Amino acid sequence: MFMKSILARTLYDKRWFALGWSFALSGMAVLMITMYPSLHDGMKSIAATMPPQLQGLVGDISMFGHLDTYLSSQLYDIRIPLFLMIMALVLALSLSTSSEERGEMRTLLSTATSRTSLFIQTMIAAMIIFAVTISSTILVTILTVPMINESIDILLVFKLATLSFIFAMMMFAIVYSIGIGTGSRSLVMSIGVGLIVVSIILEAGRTVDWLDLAQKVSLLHYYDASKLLTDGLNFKHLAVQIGLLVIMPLAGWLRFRNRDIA
Amino acid sequence: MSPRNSIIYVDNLVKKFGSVTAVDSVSFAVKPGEIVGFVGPNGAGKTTTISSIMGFIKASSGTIQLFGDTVSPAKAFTHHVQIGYTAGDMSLLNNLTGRQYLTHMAALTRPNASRQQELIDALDPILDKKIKTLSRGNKQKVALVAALQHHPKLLVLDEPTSGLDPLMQEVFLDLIKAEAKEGATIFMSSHILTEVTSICSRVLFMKHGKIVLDSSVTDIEAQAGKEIIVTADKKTLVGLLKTHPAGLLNPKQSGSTIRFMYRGPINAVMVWLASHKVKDIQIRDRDLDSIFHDMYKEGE
Repeated sequence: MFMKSILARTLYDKRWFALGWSFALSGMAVLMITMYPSLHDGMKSIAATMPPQLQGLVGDISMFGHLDTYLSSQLYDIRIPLFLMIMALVLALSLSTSSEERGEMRTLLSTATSRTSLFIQTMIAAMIIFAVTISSTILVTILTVPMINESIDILLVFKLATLSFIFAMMMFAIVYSIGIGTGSRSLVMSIGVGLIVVSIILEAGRTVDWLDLAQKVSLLHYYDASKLLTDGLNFKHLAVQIGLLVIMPLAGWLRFRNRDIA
Repeated sequence: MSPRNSIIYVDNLVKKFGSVTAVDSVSFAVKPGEIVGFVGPNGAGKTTTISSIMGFIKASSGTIQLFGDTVSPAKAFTHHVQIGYTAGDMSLLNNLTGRQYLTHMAALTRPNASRQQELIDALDPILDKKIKTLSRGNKQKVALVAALQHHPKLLVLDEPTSGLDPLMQEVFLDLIKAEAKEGATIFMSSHILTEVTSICSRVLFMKHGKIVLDSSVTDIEAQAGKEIIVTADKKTLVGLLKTHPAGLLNPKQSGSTIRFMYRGPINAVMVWLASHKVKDIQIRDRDLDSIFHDMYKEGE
């Protein structure tokens, strides 16, 4: 059954990858939730003394007051997207340049499979892998919260999951499109790692005034988990993510259709 | 030959990688049912030509047609349903077992894999272990089954027997002959010249990005001439070389022996040699191996 299409075979091939990342993200969610009761008390006193410039490193301290805001700001606004960016880079590399370097892409293209079909099936496989990973994290979040005698707005959790999914797919789309469009591992690595590092640095410095303009370069700037409760969805930021999610694969596909395969 | 009655039609193909011209104005056509051997030294441009035919790479200029349709990377897949392709250094999908790989490749190539079991019986590949754990020879067997299992009309084989032991090479060549008997067209690159001469009806010899020979095996053999070795004392050998007939090529003297190629009427040689005091004469047909060997060496 798993060998009937590239989509199914890619999912079969990446099953341990998806499982590993699901465990990692779920484990982190469990850890963050179970730590909440003790952090909740400790952070109240820290919040009173911490300079606002340092808050960029740990998120807004006032968010520790409620579980909803704590999870939005600490788990889904910093850690989950960071892990998802790394996961997207590793997955995109593996499905584009690594597959080409290993000669597997050439083998697949020697069959009656079109480049377009290969491209689309790989994108769908990535969507499913991210959906599984994020769903498992969400499920674990929902199941763990009652264990610390707290409750959480289920709708908020699903919104966070949707935001995480779109964010992960955007990062994947950027690096995968570069990889499939050029076949250059070094280009994918430099752009992928560059995006992660720049996003982390700018996120840490988000309270620094003179970095305001540069914030737009950070992918995390468009990911608004912590503001979801206070400001609702930022449709402008969402549009940027969906725009990149559409434009980058389109450009990658157009280039991939006619380029030389190693 | 017109592209319409050719399975493969290559016209003025040029492929450049930056400033390097890997394939330089190559033209040839392969008719239905032909078995064409594609030979040449490493770096001659054979794999680049095959990659262009398969649509893996885009020609810098020129035309390639398969089954009468122009090949481009974007639409190459439309022809692959009728093609069985394998390469000696082909990378299989390492995380699958041999059996999973064959199922996957059959599913992607669409027609039924009607010959799969027959090929498995003939080549005896290991199918229940992950491909990454297999030896090169066993990987090559799996790749060959995948290439032949759907009864392709055209077989494009790039060094197909590399990694196979001599016994398996023989089994593979028998399979190719059987495919050819059933009407398949075969285009095969190889370094093993005996392999080419034993099954191919025509040979394309490529060197420095150009086709330097395109001829039937029988024509090459007919034009191959003779190799003649004459033993005599040194004074006689000097005299021999001063009076030799037309058609004598590449004389090489070693001690009291002179070895040369000869293309021309054999009577003229006999008369020439009879007029000198020679001790021994050996005359033999040149085989294709030695002809190719000379071509490999030429211009090195």
